[in-house]
Amino acid sequence: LATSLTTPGMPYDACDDDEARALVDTVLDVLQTLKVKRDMTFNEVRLTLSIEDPSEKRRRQEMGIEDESGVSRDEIAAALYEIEQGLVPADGVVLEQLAREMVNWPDLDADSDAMPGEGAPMASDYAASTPGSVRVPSGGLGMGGGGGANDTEGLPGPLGFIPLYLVSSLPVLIGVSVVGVLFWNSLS
Amino acid sequence: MPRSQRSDNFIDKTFTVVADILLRALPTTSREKRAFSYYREGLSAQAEGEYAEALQNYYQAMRLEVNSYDRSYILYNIGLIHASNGEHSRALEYYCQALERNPFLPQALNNLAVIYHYRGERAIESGDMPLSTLLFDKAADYWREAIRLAPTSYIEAQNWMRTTGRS
Repeated sequence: LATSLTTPGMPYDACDDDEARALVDTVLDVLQTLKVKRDMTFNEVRLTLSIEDPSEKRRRQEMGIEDESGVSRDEIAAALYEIEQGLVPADGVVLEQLAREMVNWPDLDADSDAMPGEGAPMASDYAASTPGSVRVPSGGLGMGGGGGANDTEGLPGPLGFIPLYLVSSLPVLIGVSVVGVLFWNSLS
Repeated sequence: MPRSQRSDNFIDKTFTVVADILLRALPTTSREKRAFSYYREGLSAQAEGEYAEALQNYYQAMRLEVNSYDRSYILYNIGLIHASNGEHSRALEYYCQALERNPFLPQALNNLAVIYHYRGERAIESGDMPLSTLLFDKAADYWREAIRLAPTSYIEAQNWMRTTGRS
């Protein structure tokens, strides 16, 4: 990680650049907020900031073509790593870009209603829409492995299935209506 | 028009329209809807091989999504993109992070195993037998866990483990 930055940073306490220290403080503040409000680990934040189009990365590595900011995602991730290690990144442009991205993290102020980590595994829309998702028994990581005895746990009572009954009855209603219309037509 | 609505296939289109209606009707916050909408755009782009666009959408989804469990699916898909680009180390990082947030992801375990198995085969080609054994053992560990979570999946892996005495 640190190799992505050409010059290693200096320890925070030894740094006399107030502006750089302020930027580092900002980054650390947002990191802390993300941890508290969104249950985001440092590594998760780092991987999020590292997201980069592979072809753009290849273009930069093979042909030396930079994007308009001149700062790569790897450099930003490396700077974040240095900050986490108690260092102040030496490259001011990278630090500034990192601080900008952290400050502009969307909707952090509106996270008072956040419920990090909530939601049963089976209930996730993400799980349902991810191709190749494998349905895992709800007792998944139990030592017994199976969890078959608990399969009905968490299911709603008979009344909880009303929406399902209504949806399931739709084809029957349509069928009855079609037969009814045909019968009516045959009469006339 | 969003990418997810551009599909030519009638069934896909119908599914997308129904999913959009459900998304609007679901009792979630606007941020959650935006995050999920970015995720779906990312999935569509990824399915069409538009990895740059997919990653942009995943980046936005990662920054918006509050639920760590849901974020694991975004991380998993980013891992898939890196794996298909041959960036295996990068893919490993994302798969591992996805598993850290959600240990119920047998597909991530399977993909980790596939990468280690591939590396094991490369090690055999370069004549490094001890390394290949190590890598195959690691692949078997991941497959064992994946099969424990999803016993009816990964039949090929189960056969491989049986034939190599690793089951």
